[in-house]
Amino acid sequence: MDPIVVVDNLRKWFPIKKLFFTKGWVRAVDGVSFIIREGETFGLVGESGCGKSTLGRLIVRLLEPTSGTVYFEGKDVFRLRGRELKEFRRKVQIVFQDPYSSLNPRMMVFDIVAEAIKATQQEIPEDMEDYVASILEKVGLSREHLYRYPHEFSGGQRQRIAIARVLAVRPKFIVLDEPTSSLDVSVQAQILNMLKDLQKEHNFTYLFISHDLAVVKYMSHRIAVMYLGKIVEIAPSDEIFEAPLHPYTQVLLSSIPIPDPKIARSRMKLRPKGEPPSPINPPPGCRFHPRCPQACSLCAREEPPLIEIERDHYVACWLYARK
Amino acid sequence: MSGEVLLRVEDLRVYFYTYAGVVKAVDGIDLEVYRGESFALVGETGCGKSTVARAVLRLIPPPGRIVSGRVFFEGRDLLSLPEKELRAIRGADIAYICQDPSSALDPLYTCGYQISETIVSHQGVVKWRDAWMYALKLLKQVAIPEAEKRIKNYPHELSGGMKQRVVISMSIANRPKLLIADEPTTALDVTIQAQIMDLIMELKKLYNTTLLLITHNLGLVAEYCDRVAVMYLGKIVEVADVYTLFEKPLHPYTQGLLKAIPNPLKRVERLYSIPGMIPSPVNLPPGCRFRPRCQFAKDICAREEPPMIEVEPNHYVACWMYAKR
Repeated sequence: MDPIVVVDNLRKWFPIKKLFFTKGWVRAVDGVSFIIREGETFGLVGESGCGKSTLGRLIVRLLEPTSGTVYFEGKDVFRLRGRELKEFRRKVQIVFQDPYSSLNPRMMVFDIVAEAIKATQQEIPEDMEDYVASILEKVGLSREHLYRYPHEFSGGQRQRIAIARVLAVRPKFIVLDEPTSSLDVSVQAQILNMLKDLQKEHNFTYLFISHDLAVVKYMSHRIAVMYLGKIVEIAPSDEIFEAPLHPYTQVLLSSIPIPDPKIARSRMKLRPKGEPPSPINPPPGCRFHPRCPQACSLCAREEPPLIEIERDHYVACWLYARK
Repeated sequence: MSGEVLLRVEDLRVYFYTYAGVVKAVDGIDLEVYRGESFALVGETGCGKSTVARAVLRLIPPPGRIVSGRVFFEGRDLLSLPEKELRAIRGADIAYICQDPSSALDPLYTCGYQISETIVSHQGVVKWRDAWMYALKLLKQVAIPEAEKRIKNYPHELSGGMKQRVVISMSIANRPKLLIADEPTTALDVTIQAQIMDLIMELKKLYNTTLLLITHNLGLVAEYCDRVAVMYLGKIVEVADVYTLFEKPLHPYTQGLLKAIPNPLKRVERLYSIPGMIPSPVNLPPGCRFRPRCQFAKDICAREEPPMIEVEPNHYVACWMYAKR
């Protein structure tokens, strides 16, 4: 499978301003590289504030990076202009976490979906109403919902509308930024299954961002774990659960509650020390070292590189780097 | 487990009288929580689980009203107690931890003041200076680093996890017999969630407190609780001990719910999803409330509400499939 997205040493620092002076930087994304292959679901997990949403927004070019770049289908995303940029905007779509703020409350469902089609300048279907209705049916809504406003729908249904809007422009790559974290479990399962079906049907590539490891595991082929603006481990999704290498991944896995009392009570429990430090002044060396149960003196001095330990399994930890 | 009932809820009904109609948030539930156990009340958004917790403490704001029912705590009916006596119980014998620690703390007072206040107001004779020292001890007990500094901090100076620790230290200040934790970790990250739940369980053991955990997270239930009640639209549909519930769920809703959550340790090709949506609580379906989404529904389910049946010892379910008729 060919890479469709290549992220190359991407950085995004947000300035902290006081009056006219920059007081410091929030290092939301701080040197991240990976590839996403065509047709796969690439999962991105991490706790709040680790920079995963910022990364998602950078990849769809909703933000400009501080340094580094993203290639989509071989082209530098941040150098696209004019027609090529329009084409990129159509091919790359994003579904946001909160379907209450991502839909305009003053627009009807028909307008929300039709606007996306008009804005991307594809040939406009002759009977727009029929076309929009056919898309709504794909996401489990129906023709009768065409002329309703977002407030008439539940959270799950709104997320379906947001997905319909994305489908309408026939994209290739979709960033799903916590698409189900505001939904209840029974509705979550419906949306996740639907996303899987759509992927099979249209051969979409997904970047699935979530803080919920169980959901990411269910959706993804490969998973990257993020901590304080850095990727600490990338591996195929089964491998990351069966043989996690980075101490942070291990701690994260043993912190998620398992819905099975027998396993839940018999497994080993690892807990990190303290709380995540602020991304304004990240600790020197490995960012996890102040909380790491296996930290050594080298970890506090130097940052570990992301190295390939086995085929397709990358980890950034001095425990595995031969020095 | 001693088997002694600490909290007994009988036929509790809490209705909210809104312009859209009467919302029957809690519609006739019975519960027994034994001394020393950790009991979970699980359900999805809007099923009424938090309303139960608040009704136990008589903290239902208008337009809500406790329409009927009795809540016995150590033999006394909390719902008919004079306000003054109830105030002595709240925060002392029964403590409450809510979901959002930011709204539980007063932004205008230091953490130390707020913890001391709980101690002074319930143990009248205590001097403020002693209460402050005790607050410091509590903060250390809930593993807050640099407690001497943190005690003088205002809530906005602390992170979410730290605030929840302060709330927990407040709730255990008077060594409660019953600790009601209403989604105590929903606002927190997984690693912090694990730390906080570990802390709650440790303190529960230390003070021999009973825990009533309200949550939507079945993982937490499996990890930390002894018995579970599953709620759906204002009714309890199943009660069992955790092992039984996860191994042999009986109610179709419980079965669906368990199949709908992804288990990170298992490889599942396709999650089960419960068809349809939760109906509006204003217009409840007649008969069994789960019937419109249930694949086993029969004629009787649409006509009559199923009674609570003890299928096996201590395993209760409200479903016509198990009723001998």
